[in-house]
Amino acid sequence: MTVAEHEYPYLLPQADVLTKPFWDALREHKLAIQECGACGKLRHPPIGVCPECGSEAIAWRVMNGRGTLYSYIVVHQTALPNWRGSVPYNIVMVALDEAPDIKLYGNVVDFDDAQLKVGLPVVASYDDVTSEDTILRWRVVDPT
Amino acid sequence: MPEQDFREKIAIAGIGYSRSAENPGAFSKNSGVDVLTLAVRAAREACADAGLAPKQIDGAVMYQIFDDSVRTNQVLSALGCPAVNYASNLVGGGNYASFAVMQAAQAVYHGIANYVLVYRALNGRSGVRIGHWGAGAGGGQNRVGGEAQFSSIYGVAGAASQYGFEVRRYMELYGVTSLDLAHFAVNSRSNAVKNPRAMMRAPLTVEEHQASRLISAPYHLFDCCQETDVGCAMIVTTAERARDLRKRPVLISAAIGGGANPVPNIEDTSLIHLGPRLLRAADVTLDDIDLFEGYDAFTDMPMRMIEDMGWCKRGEAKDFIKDGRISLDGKLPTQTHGGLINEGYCHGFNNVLEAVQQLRGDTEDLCPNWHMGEHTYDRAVCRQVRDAKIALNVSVMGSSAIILKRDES
Repeated sequence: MTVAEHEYPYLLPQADVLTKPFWDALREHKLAIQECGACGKLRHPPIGVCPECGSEAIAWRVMNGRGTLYSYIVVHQTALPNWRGSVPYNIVMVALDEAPDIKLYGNVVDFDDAQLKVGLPVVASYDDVTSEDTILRWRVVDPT
Repeated sequence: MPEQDFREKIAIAGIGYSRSAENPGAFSKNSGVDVLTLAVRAAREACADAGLAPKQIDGAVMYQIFDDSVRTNQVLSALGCPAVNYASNLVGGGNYASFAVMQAAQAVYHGIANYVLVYRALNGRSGVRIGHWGAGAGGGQNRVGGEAQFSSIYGVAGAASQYGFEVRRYMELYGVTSLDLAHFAVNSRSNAVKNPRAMMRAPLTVEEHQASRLISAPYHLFDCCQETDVGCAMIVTTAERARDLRKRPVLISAAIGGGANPVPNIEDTSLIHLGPRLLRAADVTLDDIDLFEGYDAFTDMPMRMIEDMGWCKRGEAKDFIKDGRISLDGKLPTQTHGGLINEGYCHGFNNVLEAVQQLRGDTEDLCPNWHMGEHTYDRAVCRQVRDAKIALNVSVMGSSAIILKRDES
């Protein structure tokens, strides 16, 4: 459900010059990962210099959004005041199928937390949480 | 020349805790005093333990995170030290627990300073709560930048959520269960029962561990350390000088690390890189090590270190820790004071102090004359490891480590 920013109870991303293209792509319901403009090495979170070749050239690659559940937790007690009413909730780490070294946080939606398991196939889902922000969630792919 | 030329030439001459009349165990939820007072209390006790006048200290190493502690210049000044020949203020986390000692050893070995104070002091519960990192945002300011923009927006905040991802993957890939973690927790607590400093001293059963509330599944309450107010300190000097002081020196055999190493997966610790080199530098094998203190913000951490050092294969610590192998009379006594989980959380530094006491043979327990080094080895009251000669301390996720040795001269 989309709400005004001041009504959104959770934390929102503060984009910076390096991360803005990531959030802009999500706004268009695309998952884009930063890559080196010279050697093509993908990396996340975004950085300014390629660890592989040293190039400062930056490009972005749109991914197919498919991934595998790399790990997850189910939060029962949180230090974040505004999340306390939402426990228990899951947080997951997903390894992208096209680039397994890239791990992305998110939440799996519309799924029983008790059935979560490392290795589950998931697909990106785009949640327009405010009039300006879209954040990444994940859906478990039905194996059938 | 050995890999690390300072091997066994530098010693820990004394240790101290921020004790007071109101809190003789030093660890608490509310110290009631400022962090500088905690640091100075611990430093003065370390000096008294070594038989050194505080004014003889001419260097210091400390570590802190989120500006939660007091700098070396404040502490040395509060101790009345006339000279500061070496000072290092490290900014970081539990990765420095072993490293801070190594840095002091290097300064002493190179003759830059003679008596270096190493301390970690914090009001981790009543002051800056590092266990709550990431939780500061919200309440008016609802945007987060940096790497947190990719994690905290989903509710990642605090160590239990961060490290929960590691332990979950470790458990699922290697068939480790919460019940296995419970066995580790129970061993630690059985040692804490005999530790007058420990915050958690009531006996614990596997069933009580399993029944404790979930914090960040798979972590139960009794898998987690607690936020703590405390100061811990030690004095590092040459072995030669230490031999003229009050206590039997504990030699620094080898040390390594200081930062997280890149590892293939989150279930791996940095020990896969650092472990073999550390053992080689100390010229010891795993069989030589008499006790192990691993950074245990959570129960699984030392188990994974035991595996990555090579005592057993990945996923086999759950079997290794059974049958009393990590108990006080086992092959590898572990968390002999109860660890960070039970004694309290001095960001890993209290684990180093515990190893020092064990090697000196004057471990603080319920034996009537423990302070004179008289131990009964009656496991109802005594937690001194028999004839402990060599100890391994490992910092968070294997990011730094140190091997300590009893002085035999």
